[in-house]
Amino acid sequence: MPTTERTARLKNRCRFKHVAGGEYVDAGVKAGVERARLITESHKKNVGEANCIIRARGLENILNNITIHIQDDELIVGANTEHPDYFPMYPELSYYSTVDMVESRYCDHKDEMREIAEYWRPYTIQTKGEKYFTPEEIGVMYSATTVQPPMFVTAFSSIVPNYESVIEDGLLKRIEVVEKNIADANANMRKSPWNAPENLHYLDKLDQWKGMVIAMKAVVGWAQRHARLAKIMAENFLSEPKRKAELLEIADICRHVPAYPARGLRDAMQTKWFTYLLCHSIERYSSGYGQKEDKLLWPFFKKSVIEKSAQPMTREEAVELFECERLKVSEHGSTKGRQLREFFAGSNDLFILTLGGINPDGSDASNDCTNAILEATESIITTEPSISFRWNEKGNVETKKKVFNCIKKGFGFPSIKNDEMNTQQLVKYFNVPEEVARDWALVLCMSPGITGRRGTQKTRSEGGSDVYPAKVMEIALTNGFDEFFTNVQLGPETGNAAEFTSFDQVWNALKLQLRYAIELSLRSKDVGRVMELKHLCCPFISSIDDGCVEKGLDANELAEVANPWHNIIGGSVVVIDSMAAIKKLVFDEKKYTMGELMDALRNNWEGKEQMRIDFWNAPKFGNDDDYADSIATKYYDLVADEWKRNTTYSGTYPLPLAQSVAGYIVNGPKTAATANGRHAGEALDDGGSSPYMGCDKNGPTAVLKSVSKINASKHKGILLNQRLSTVLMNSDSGFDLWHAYMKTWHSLGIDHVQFNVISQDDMKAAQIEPEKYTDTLVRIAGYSAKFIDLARYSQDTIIARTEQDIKAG
Amino acid sequence: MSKCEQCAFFFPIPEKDMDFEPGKGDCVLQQEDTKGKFWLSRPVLESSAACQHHRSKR
Amino acid sequence: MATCKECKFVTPSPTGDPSTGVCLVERMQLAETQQTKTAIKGKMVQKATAACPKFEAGESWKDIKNLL
Repeated sequence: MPTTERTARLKNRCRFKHVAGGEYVDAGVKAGVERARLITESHKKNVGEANCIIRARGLENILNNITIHIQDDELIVGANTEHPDYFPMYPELSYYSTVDMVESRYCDHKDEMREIAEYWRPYTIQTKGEKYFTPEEIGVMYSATTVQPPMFVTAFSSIVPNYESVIEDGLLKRIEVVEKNIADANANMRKSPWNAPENLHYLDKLDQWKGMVIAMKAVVGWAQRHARLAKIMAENFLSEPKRKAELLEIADICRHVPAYPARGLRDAMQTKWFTYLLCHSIERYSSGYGQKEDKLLWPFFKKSVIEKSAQPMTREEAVELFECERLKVSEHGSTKGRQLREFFAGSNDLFILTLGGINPDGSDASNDCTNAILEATESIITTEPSISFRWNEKGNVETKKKVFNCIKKGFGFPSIKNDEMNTQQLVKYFNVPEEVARDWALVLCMSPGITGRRGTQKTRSEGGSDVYPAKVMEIALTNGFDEFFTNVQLGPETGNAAEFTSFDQVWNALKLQLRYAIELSLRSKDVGRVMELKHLCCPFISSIDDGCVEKGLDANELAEVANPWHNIIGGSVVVIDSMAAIKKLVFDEKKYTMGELMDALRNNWEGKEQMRIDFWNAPKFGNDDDYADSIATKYYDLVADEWKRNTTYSGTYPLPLAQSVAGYIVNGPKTAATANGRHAGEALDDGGSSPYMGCDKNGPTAVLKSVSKINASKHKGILLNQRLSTVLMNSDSGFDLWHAYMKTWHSLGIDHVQFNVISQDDMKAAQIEPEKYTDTLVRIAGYSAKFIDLARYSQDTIIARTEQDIKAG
Repeated sequence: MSKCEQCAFFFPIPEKDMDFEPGKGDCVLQQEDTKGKFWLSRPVLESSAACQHHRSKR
Repeated sequence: MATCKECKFVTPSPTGDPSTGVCLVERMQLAETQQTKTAIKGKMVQKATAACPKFEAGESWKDIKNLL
């Protein structure tokens, strides 16, 4: 239950913007046109200027002129569109994504937006990026079969904003610093004698710095607009004294931040929200809610709640503020392209914050701010933002109990990441100093990146994008040709599997198809990165990074701390189980030939049910069975080695990250029958190492033992979904049993685990009477969703997951 | 013809604010739908012709 | 003549490319051994292609919760 009447009202009227099958669930959700209109108007006036100036002027025009709003009861203000039911549009990014949205039911300004889309077409990063690829390569990538379409057409990105610099400095101080850089550069350029090598680099930097100043001033002005609106509301529209006082306090806060450093928790929360909106949704679109929230807000929580020295408040008021934050995120409208909307079935976007772990000095980082955030999460019950908890041996039991409380209620989060392993990976693979690495947060659902004043991830061209292994395996058996979904040659000609005479040939074909998909995907990311730094400068995002300010560089260009990673989405276990079945039944036991298998797969096992059951009953990953697990180990090593062959924009090789979001659902219908006994069009495996639905039969410890055989240190993350019994988790010994399970998980050196705690009966009942289950949440993979928001096919994949009995072991 | 400057919903921008321009102000309107009340603010010029929401200052 | 574009089983393409779509009409009930109930055999289509015998006029978004 919400802890106050205010948050109960806010939740009751929350303007959720969840999607199902790529479509927004609430009929009231619309596409806002003002951002698109204002950035277009500014672009027409500024064509010919340096890109960073064009972009800064565009942001300035949006912030000065977009309609702003404050809703009744709100304590945190600010939004990305002109109306609380809307999401914004980004015509400068992807032509296809814009047209898709314009022609949808969400857009009420079709003629104007068609004109805007056509105006931008030559300037979009889609048009700029496409010309570096052949039509065949574009066809492969845009089919979203073996690889994710490139960012220049999906317009999907992710970022960890430098919240700390805004909260600690305030923008006016940062403007002073940048203006001094400009003055110093101008003075150096006028020194006698003239020296070109020492001075010409200032030309680009001067443009970047000028863009940063324009952007930061516009942001301060935009906050002042909110301050004025709150004051005008208090003085002209409202009579209730308590609300009037709140609005006057909001006016004071917005006049103070982000111009000046935050004083207390209310300032810090408002600064964080404004910065979030700007970096994730106004300057450009980027997914995520990457932050180490309990670290970021702890100094202000201490001042306001514990010491009461600035913006004093009770602990209950702090919990209410965190509830308000969750509701604010819940109604935030994101504008993902079509494929990404399908990939986040039941959700709005990937909003994931990080808690727990240890401090730079090695002490437990969980504090009372962590506990208050978790308490608010438990009481308000929203799918967003999801939470990742960094499980460290040093973490206190009180906080871990609060983590457990959320999990046992069935939220599906916090998801748990192995803190020591992920910290060491940043140190070992990316040369991050240990004290910096210890402040890591997830960039999106699974990948750690650093937080702080500089060097955080700024674009998904650094880390992100997908390869789809089940489809790669399918075409490894069909000479690279997709006979099932596109009728297109998706990869190199690696031979027809009917003629393969050894398991090594099958493995080699998989390796070569994987190699092609990885390299195409990486090349498209790096081409996209160059398009971003040339054509999509982000002067505000740059202005809050100390490194960009110091060096006069755009945030897309500066890769101060490399963090390359690449998803391998849903299907890894289908590949492993298929390989195990082929090895066992074709090459070890010789019960079937490759020709017979290919014939059965092409015909979707029709007339071959006994053969399908043989393949279905072959050794499966997740049962502590060395036959299947040894193939899993070999597969995950292959994946890591194949990525390691490449060097990306930031100068090093990416690490793979096995997970699925809802890709295991969306890609099921694109994937033909597979040798694990799966039918064509059946869902794939949910996660990165979750056993295939119904195939883990030896209990939860066997699952953990199978997963622990994978060398997780070579991977940026490997997602494991587990479903636990509601009865057990809610019993008196629930926490002790779960805590013991978690200790086993941690001691086995596993990267990740997350839980669904919901009964089959409840899910089936929710399918029949959805109106009675409005607060029933489930974990998809990497994020949670309201069960009733999911399409039927998706709901069935959650019901199909094995319920583990942790008592039995 | 009525102008925005005569409207009760027109509030001039203070000179010290970043987005100040002579003659520019905030047009603040209250709206309500099935999910509740909210207040919108957009910039207008005092010389602009009045809109359908115009209400004369007392 | 009706085309895939007007069919309720054809969802938009993953990129939003207006000329292509994904047909989700083909589906089958699964065997008892499988934990899920339904398989959907997707097909990438050109929206300008002449409609097939399974064509039904409509827009996919209206019934998306039963489609995917």
